[in-house]
Amino acid sequence: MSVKYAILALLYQRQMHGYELGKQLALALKTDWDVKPGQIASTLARLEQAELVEPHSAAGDAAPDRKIYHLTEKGVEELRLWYLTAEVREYRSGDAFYLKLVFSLTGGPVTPEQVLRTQRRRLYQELHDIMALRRQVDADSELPLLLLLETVILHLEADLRWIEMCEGRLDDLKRYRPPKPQRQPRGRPKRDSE
Amino acid sequence: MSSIVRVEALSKHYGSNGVRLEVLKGIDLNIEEGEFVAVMGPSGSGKSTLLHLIGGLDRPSGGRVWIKDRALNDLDDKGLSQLRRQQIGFVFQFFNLLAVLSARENVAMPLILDGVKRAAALQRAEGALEAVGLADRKDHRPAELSGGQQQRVAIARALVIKPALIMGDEPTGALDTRTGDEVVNLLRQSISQERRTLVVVTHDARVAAHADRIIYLKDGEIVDDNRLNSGERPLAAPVSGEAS
Ligand SMILES: Nc1ncnc2c1ncn2[C@@H]1O[C@H](COP(=O)(O)OP(=O)(O)OP(=O)(O)O)[C@@H](O)[C@H]1O
Ligand SMILES: [Mg+2]
Repeated sequence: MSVKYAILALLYQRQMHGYELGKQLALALKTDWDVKPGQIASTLARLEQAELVEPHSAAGDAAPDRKIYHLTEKGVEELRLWYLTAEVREYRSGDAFYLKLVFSLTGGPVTPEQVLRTQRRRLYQELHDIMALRRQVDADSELPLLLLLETVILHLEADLRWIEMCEGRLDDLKRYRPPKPQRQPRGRPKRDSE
Repeated sequence: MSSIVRVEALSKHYGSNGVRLEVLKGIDLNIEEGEFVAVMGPSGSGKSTLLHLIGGLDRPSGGRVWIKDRALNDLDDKGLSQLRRQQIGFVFQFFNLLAVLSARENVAMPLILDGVKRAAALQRAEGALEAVGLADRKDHRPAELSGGQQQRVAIARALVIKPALIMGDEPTGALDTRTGDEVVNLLRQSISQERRTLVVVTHDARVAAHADRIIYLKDGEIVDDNRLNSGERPLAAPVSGEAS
């Protein structure tokens, strides 16, 4: 998550000084996203330099967490752009688990079954923890947090279903052999060789 | 902790014209009192069969089952059904309520079968319905209730006998996520308050994640026995805190 945009979003709602921003951030999100006061102060200083926020005229050269800030027009525009830019999750082909699975298929000190089981246990532990957490969240007064937990739950469920899918096709998977690299002839590549 | 369910070398096969189908191949399992165990595994792996053998709904081909130190193998059919009536509450995917009876009569049924007088049984049934939040639906027939409500009636029916062991075969299988959550929470609460044991067969990761332990069956064998840690955790969401 981005401290910069969290600050812009809050300052859009009302002017605040840095100390208040930190408190408000924690109250609004209720997550363990740990933003240090120093991080807020330094971000505010950068935002001020970029003319996205402006301190109250009477502030003089007080520390950022004592100055009261509001958004500039440029800041509002920046914030609008952020709101209207979709977030994209990354599905990386260099994913660490994918590497473990593929290499274990062709021979390793453990079996692919063990690799899948290890990952599944971990995912279930995470899901178990989230469910315990979810039971403590009040569905009325903490609905945004509850829905945040739901997205975590849904992603874990998707990951678990994928593990199940791999397990279901394990016999076929084990027959997988990556193609061997072609031996490159030495010297300059010849055109139309063979 | 003492174990409430003990299973040793349990097997079940079906055979017809020379073809032997081995559905369970020598299962060993201990379930402790107060545990919530989820049983998972692909379709046909033997989950329901295992549940039925533990619950005394069916007889094994080999091996033994104990419930609270009573060996099911040594009981005749009458003894087995008595043990079921007094110790085990069942909850099924499609509720299995009697269509012609009201919610209250459905819930009272196991008590009546166990010899409790009708009036007393109906009164206890009302208490059980109240505990699942259905006091105002006691005179409704199953057809007049939603799926989630029918399952709550079924849970009340399972709980009314104050069983030591509750067993569910896909109890949320016919319900949507939210109603399924309610049903699991109800089952969870009923065991944590009374120190009962809960064994639930499920395909749903969301349901299994509530359990203390997840057992996986594959081709009639236990391939994983996953104990989950339930340490107290602070109220914090696992979002990664990537700074700006
Ligand atoms: N009475 C029976 N006669 C013959 N085979 C049976 C009988 N009951 C069950 N089976 C077989 O036993 C195997 C396991 O069945 P079981 O119902 O235990 O599976 P399951 O794990 O509960 O599957 P699902 O997730 O689909 O409910 C299946 O192959 C099934 O066809
Ligand atoms: Mg089944």
